[in-house]
Amino acid sequence: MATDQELELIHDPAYVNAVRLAGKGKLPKEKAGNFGIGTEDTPIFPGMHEASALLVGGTLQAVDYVMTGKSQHALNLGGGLHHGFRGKASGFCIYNDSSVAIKYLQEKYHARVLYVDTDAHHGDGVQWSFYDDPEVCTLSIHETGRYLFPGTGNINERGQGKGYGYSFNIPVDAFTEDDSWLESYTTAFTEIVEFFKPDVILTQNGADSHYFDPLTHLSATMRIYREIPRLAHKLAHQYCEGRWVAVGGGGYDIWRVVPRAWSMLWMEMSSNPTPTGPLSPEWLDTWQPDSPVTLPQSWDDPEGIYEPIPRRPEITEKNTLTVEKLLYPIRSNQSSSVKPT
Amino acid sequence: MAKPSRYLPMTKDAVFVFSEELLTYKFSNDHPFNQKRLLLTLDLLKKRVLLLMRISSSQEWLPIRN
Ligand SMILES: [Zn+2]
Repeated sequence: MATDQELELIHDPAYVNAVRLAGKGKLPKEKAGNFGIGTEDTPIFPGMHEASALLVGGTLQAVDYVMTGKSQHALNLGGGLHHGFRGKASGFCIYNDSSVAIKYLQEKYHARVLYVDTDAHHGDGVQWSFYDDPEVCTLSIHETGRYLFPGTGNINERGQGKGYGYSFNIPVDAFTEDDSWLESYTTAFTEIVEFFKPDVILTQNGADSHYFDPLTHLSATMRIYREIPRLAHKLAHQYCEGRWVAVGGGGYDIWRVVPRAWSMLWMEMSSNPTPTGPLSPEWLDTWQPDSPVTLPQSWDDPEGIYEPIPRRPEITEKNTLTVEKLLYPIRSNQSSSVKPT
Repeated sequence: MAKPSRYLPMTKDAVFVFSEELLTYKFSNDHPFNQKRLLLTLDLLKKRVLLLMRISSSQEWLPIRN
């Protein structure tokens, strides 16, 4: 479990104190509101400080394993709570394990960190924590904030002061499908890692961009959950001697999407082939009775889980343009740096 | 990528940090954020996949400190 000192690398002591009191039922309602807790999204629950600090501790432990060379990669699926702010809970997130972990990586290991967030929601908490810091680069690919929480993650949020140019956002259109999503992700991640040359990569692996996810409006399938970790894995070896920490995140179809997506992530991290074919009949037998929906029968989604998207060409073109605009500054730098002076 | 050897203390490929206590992060029974998904994932990995994994030499399951 993360200590108060570790939590306070990012969070206000007054906020940590409020969360602790709230978890003991001792925080007055009117005060809770100031800290974003006791809301419909982020209600108070008994022991909320301990539960939240535990998952932060898990991410710090993953960091220590990787940075001390005990392991090349480390996974904490309990982490990825990217909406937590310095002094405020938001969007189901109380403490922000990724923000704490990045600060911890900086202080303990003097590492330059590339944070890559593939959750369908903008990774706002992490972005704002390091918005003015050129030693941390953040990339978030998410459904546009026009209709979706938290509403930020616009392409022109590029950082401020010395941190200008180190914050990258790809707001993809609603109903974006696998091909366009993957093209955006692959192009941006590949060029940004080359631009920033991090010491370690931290990926947030929210699994809520799938068509089945009840809270978002994208049209991705299991294909992206096979490819997301594959690229992260490859780039971690190419640029960071393998140093890769991964955390979980959102994911609200807990029956049909998250178990398959996160199993793929672990299989990729542990250098096993990502599975294909039918799902385990035992797993299906165990869980189908509890599931309100019919469980998928195979690792990949069959064709046609959704109706064809009529606006596909427009959506694809728009996303391509977004990525071009996003990467323009680092592309023009590259070409100007090779010009003779 | 270097494969761990049986004879030398080597870097592991990957560690999976887990504790059942992660499931105590629970707002309510009907809240959309539901860490039961961790159990569903672990169970899927165990039944279908751990059998195929070289867990003995290159992977480690790690309980979260304290
Ligand atoms: Zn999300």
